[in-house]
Amino acid sequence: MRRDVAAGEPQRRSEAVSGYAEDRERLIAAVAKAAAEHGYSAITIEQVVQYAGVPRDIFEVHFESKEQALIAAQDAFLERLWLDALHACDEREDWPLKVRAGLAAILASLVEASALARVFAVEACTASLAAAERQFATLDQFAALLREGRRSYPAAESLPDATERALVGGIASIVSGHLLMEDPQAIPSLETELVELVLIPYLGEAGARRAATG
Amino acid sequence: MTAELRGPHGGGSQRRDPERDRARLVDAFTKIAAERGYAKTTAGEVAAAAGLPRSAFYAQFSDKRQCLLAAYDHFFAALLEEIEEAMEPGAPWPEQIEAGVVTALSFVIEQVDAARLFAVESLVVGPPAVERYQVAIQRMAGVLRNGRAHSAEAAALPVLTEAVLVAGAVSLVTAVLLAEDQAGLPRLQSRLLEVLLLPYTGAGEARLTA
Repeated sequence: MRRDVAAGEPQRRSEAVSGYAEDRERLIAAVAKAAAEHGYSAITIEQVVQYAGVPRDIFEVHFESKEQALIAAQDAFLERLWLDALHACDEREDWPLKVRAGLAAILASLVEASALARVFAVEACTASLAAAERQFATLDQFAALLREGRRSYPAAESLPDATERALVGGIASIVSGHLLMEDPQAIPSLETELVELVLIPYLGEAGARRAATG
Repeated sequence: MTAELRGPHGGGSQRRDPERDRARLVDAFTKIAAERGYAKTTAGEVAAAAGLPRSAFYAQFSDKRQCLLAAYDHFFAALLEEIEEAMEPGAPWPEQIEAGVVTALSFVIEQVDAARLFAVESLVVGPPAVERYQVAIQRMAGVLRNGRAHSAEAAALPVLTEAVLVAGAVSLVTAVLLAEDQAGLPRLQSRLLEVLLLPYTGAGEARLTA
């Protein structure tokens, strides 16, 4: 997310650009804070500019409306979740371990930022069609990532086409339920079973259990 | 969906039949909110569409939210009832699931706007809607769980299997509803069936049934 100006670079040329990017980043963080505190639909532009510590006209430079700012904040949240998962996967060699690490990272991020997760992964979808579409696009993205497992397991080629999307959607819905019930502490205890469930189509029941618990 | 008309309504009687009022209000609410969205639905319009005074709305529901929850209950009770009716107790398990999927999808296709309202928008009322959603998922999961008797491997599946499968199937339906891709709903039939049967029967038999 963060744009670092490489040390030793002439500062002046990039000052205007980095000021713009910094303002945007601060506004997005302020939208997230306000939404977590007041609820997705209830936030006001006044709260956002106050939290960001910028004048209102700066808000208007970046966003045409509160809705647009909320979508940008949701995008930032989902992007962060995606990158956390990718990063965790990259640290493992074996595909089952990638799945396990990726899912663990996603659940940990959701629990850590559970107020934000409730706002952007659940509430947003009920408030705006555009937000719901983004959420569903993210599910597709994770399903496509999971689908790469088919390459490691030739037998998985004959799996139903919708397998990955159904697994990802099912898990998202169970986890969302806990977020909405404000019961995020229940989420980590689901991890082993969820990993096993995701791996079963590729490894079979016994193999999936070994990979999830070993 | 039919509003129950119970007992004779004697001519000249000023008494309201609360159950009948409630059913009419729920039907009117579902129709209006499905058409224009929950946020733009008002108690006054719902009452008018039900042919009742506004006070009749508030005699039944303390607010719009309560009415949404009642409509939600009504929709899912009808859906689950149809699914359970469609499943022949004596039939082989994969065929029962097939009948359930076919029935559920035609129910959703027939009431596509209401389905979209309840699948996406209803979460706006928060925990009470989530609880209801989870109860509905668990009930359908219970039906699916009978598949564990289908093979030795299926008996050892994780406890969460059925909840994830059912919620996953609902998520696939919701994605199509959200995209307003009417033609996509009938196409889901074989995809859902394959996914639901897979852990119990393996990919080969799941495809065959689908």
